[in-house]
Amino acid sequence: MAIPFRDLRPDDGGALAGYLRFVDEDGGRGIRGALFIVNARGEPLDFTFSRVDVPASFLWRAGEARRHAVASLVASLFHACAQTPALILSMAAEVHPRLFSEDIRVEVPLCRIAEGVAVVHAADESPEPLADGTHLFWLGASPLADSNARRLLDALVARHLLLEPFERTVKGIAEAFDGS
Amino acid sequence: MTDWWAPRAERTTRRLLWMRPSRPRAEPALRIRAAVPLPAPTATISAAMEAAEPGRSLLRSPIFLVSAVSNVNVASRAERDNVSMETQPPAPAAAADPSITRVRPEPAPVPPGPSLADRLRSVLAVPLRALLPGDASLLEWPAGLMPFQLDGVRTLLQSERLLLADDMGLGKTVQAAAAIRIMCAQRTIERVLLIVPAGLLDQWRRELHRWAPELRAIIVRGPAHERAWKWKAEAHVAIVSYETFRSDAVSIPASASRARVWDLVVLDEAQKIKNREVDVSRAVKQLARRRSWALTGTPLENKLDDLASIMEFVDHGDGGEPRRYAPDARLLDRHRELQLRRRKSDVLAELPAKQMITIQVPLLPRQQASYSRAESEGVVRLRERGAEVRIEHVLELITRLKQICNVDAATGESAKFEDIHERLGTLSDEGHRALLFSQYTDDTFGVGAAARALSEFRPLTYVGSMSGARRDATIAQFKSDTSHRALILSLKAGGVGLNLQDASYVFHIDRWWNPAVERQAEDRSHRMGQLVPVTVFKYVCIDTIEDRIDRLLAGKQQLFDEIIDDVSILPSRLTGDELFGLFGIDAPSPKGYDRTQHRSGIALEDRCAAILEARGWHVQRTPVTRDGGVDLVATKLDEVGIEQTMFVQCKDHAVAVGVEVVRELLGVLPTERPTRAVIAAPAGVTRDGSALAERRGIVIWDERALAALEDRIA
Repeated sequence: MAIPFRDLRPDDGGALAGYLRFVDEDGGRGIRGALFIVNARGEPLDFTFSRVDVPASFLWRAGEARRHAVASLVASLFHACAQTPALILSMAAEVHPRLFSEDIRVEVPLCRIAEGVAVVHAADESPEPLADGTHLFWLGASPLADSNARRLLDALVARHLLLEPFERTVKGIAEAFDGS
Repeated sequence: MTDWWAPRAERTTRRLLWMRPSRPRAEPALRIRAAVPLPAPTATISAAMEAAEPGRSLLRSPIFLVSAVSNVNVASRAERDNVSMETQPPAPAAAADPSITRVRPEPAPVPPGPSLADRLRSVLAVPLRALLPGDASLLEWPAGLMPFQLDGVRTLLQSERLLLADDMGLGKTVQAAAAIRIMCAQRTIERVLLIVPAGLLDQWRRELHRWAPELRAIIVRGPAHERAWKWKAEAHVAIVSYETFRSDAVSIPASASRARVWDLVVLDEAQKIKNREVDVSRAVKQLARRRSWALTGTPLENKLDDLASIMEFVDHGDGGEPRRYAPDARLLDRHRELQLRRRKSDVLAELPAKQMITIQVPLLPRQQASYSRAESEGVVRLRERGAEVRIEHVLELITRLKQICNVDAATGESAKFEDIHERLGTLSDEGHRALLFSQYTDDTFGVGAAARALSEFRPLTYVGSMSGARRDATIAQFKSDTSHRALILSLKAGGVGLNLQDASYVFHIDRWWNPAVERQAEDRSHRMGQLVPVTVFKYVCIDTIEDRIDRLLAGKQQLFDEIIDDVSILPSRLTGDELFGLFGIDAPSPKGYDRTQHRSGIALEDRCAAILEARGWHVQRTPVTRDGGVDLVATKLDEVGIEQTMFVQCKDHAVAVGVEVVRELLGVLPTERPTRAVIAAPAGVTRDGSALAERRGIVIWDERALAALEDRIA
């Protein structure tokens, strides 16, 4: 080290969290979605948004059309996003458990979050209850204690920021599509 | 939107009928991201992104991070506001699949107002609750804030115009510093001008360093060439004294202070601009600014005009242009909207009590002799002046007598200093320390004399003639070295802004005319952080001018307590009649009015009551010392049996009464029903007062009107 120095920034490894949210348009004909990237302090870094039409045809089974629309939307968002989060969080009520097991394969830790409600989770999801009643459903195994994802999660929880960015994401979606 | 939506839906439907169900395709995503890591202000291209085709574009906005505030502030406003735009090819899957209907929204017309990036930056910012002081705050704070202070910070953050008028000692400085820090962190503001009393420059810098350590604060002072570069320095907060600001703003019209648009201008101890006619008042109101905050515990010291002047600064026009307020109902309405005021009794249940003790001491024998001689000679001289006597002559005599009450310069005797010496000895033995205030700074009667008389307690002195550095050093020394058992301050220099909780005893060596000023001084000690009860000793020498003034002020003090929080007029000053009356002398009469006919206010009340009763009114008198601005309340039933009420204020002054009398009466009139109001002033009312009275329907009874009414009765 040519120049001795100490990095005084918080030791969160620079890990980023991606918050996925989906909002149905009026009449259910389309879905709006966004991927909001924040750091461990909840500071905004990247906001990617898009929308998709939901096919309204008898050829689709009920629910399937929405699931595939969401998958398409997620693919678009992931494609456009230039950041690589250490952790992706989504709302259990908005994301079908099979989305990330059958339609989209994600290479980073991903979990669906439920706020104190009973949620059906897939067999390959690992549930993890938090002290405040929130439930996490990890796709596959939950991240290890010394992993970036775990440290990031702990930092967000400690700052009461685990769920809050979801609210900002919804506001961002509204602003992006309806704001003027 | 409608244009592109309909044909696309049609094409999609057709394809679905004859082919396998098409997988829904999302629109190519738009992305807005912050430029990371800092401080890489990416090569931005200022472009109208709204005009681009979102389907092909990737939006990038350098949204800076709260965590890197120090870096953020390097960036200029122009960099922040620029939005870059890059072209992004369509997603590979979409490009390869010809069956996909690509969504191509029509280019939106450029809307007025903030851009999408700006709006998203706002809604996606870290929420305020994550920045406010608290356990989970993203910002590190040196200490927590009390709930009412957090409310204050929130209010400041939401207010482009605010008069923060919390009681002294409730932490207005801390609230403002915290709000400035958060707004800088949110990049809502970048440049703040803080105008403070000269004695508080370094204290403000210390507070900012403590509560907003990442902000760069610079004190603008020193020689002209030094101030010139300081005004232009890249600092978040420029701190300047009222005097320096006035000097630079007035003498150099093109000075940096006036050439710049400030994101926020804060006036501490804003009562400094209560006189709208002085240069500094005019100069602060001419500053180009987006936000105006005024901090003061006493927005109204003497009259409603004080408040009007402060409000003219706070309630700036949208373009920063100054507004003009008259002391009327519109001012009070607007004031209620823009003022945040909390009283200690409301929010600090845990604050120790403040005990007020008036010490009445008899003058020492030789001191008494000197006093009696000075008074009798002074009164004789006043009488000799006859009609030429002026209030200034009376004030001169009062000053002379008050000084003798402090110390008899001829003999060195001082009843007050003897008593203080004794009390301080006891307090010192018990481990207490004290603040002593005097309005005089000299070595004969004031601060210097007290320091000499109390030298065994190693007192430090603090007066306005000391340099800022020396004042700071004195305060620091008093706080750090407990062997100094007393700090003696001039009321003017030390009465505002200082935090002196290290002492729990306050002595007012002499009395000031205005209770608000005394209260400010006491609150140097009785403020947040004080852990023990504060005891305030006020000295009054028996059978002296102090005794008489104290009795006159006592009535006004009660009125002050009742109305200060309702923003009414504060008639704390003594009138000319009252001043002359202190020596049993009548004020000189104006031409055309023979005051010898009506020697007192009571006589005038009698005269007015007789007029009204003769006309069928039932007249009630209000208490003499607590009339609340009305002397007579008259009622009678009109022709249809509805009770009519008339409020009469009697002002038997030597000269025409001013507009403040009209305002005073307006302030106490009931608003829920129509009423009649009369000002009985034989010497008349000034032009301003008459104009206001006419506008507001108040009738003036001058000597001519009174005589006419009496003639009709006869």
